[in-house]
Amino acid sequence: MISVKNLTKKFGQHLVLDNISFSVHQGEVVGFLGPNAAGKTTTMRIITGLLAPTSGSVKVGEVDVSDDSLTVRKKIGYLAENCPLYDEMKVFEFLGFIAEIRGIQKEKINERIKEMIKICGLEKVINQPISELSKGYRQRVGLAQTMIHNPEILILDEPTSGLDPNQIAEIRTLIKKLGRDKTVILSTHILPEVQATCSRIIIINEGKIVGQGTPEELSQKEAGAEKIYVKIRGPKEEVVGKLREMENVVRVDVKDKEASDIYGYEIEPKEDMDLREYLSLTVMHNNWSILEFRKKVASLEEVFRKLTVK
Amino acid sequence: MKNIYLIFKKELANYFNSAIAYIFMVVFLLASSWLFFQGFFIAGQASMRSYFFYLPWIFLFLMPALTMRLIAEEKKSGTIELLLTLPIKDWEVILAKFFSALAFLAVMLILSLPIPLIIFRLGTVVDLGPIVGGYLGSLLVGAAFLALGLFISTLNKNQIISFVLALAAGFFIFILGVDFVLMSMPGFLAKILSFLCLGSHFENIAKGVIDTRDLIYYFSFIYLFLYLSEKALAARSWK
Repeated sequence: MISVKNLTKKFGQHLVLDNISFSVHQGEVVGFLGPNAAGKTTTMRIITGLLAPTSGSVKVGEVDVSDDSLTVRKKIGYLAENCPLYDEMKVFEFLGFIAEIRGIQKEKINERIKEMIKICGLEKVINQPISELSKGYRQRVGLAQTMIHNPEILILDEPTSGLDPNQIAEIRTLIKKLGRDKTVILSTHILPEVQATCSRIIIINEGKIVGQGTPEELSQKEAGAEKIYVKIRGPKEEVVGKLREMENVVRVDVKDKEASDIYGYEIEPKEDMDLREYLSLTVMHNNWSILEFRKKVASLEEVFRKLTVK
Repeated sequence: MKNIYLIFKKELANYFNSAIAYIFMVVFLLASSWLFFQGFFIAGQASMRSYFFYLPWIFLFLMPALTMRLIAEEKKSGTIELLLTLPIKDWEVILAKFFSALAFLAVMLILSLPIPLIIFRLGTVVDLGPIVGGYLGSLLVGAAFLALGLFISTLNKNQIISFVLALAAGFFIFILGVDFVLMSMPGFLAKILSFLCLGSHFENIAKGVIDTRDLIYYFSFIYLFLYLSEKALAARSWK
């Protein structure tokens, strides 16, 4: 659906995007993740045809954005960062204006606006000037604007920034619902957001793609060997001692304490070694007991920090 | 065409939905009428010559105020990003913005029509030529200032800077051909300057002499700055 090839963008001498390539398939919800100023917004602006790349190409369907930006723009609904809207207009005027420019037939405009009002929950504010709306409603009007012409592709730049937790949950549900039949690219630096909404993640840092895949893939691939968390009833010093003596163990840490003789331990094995069986034997052998036992998967947060902090 | 019309309509509504439009009209009508009627009864001539003498000077201040926000405001508030990701061509945006300001100017001029009506009532023999020419010339000078102001508004995102720069640039081009400037110039340069000057062409038209050279001058001037505006917008030189 969208294929980005060797995209580079310079603002003067400043390199913002450094040879980025990726593709997004139809029906995917892809999350752009990255610290501030990583190049997320610039990438999105180039895909929408707002900015021209210094080199490289962006194809939407079969059309190259730099050849025929108008055709591409018709297929895309774009929500810019900070949600710019014409403040002096009323909500219905604004949606009507966008609908007309988007080339929706006159007799269908009202119907479309009504549909958007319903989807985005704008019933209460439809007659208000946009300048008087709260941040949450602004964002919803912005979303209504991106979807009014029923585009195949939605590009949303930080769609939930500045919203309260309830509104964030609503917008996420909305995006998930839309993701069923639309291709969505959204950017954010809020990690739970991508986990909640995206089927694939692209992590960008300093203009380069530093990781991509499903949240699970990223966690496994980037976090190195899986750690084991185990809760054991038994004398702490002795348990730690025995665990450290085990073969193929790199590290043992005491993580938490439940009761005077119950502690949680985190064990890091040597790469790809399965310690589970040997561990349980060791515990049984010493007449202790295992109360909890799980593999510890690195959180997306850890992956993100690992990939973007140097 | 449809896109131009839609943005034109929105921009014009934008002028008239705010109090600024009405303040603007009142300032224009008061200033121009006062300057004119001051000397009108003393001179005792049924002509609008002095009216059209002052008008470009009033425009020099008012036109930049009309154009300063056209693009600069959209850049400042970020709506330019919304506008330019809609399926619209850059030149459609520029033309729509220009025509909305031009329409506002036309309304201003129409509101001043009671002045010639008074003159027709008072005077026995009224020369129609200079009045028609004066209005045409005013519209052209105004349009030229608007095109210049629009171009300057595409260059930055600060409305005040847009206003001051447009005022300064307009003033410069307007006085290029004034005798005071020309006196100190060698002959050939004086000729060029007096051709480039916004004011000298206006004087011809305001006399009621409509010369194609003057019309071509204004149309080229407007075209040049609209073209530059489109280029400036296409450069996307903001972040």
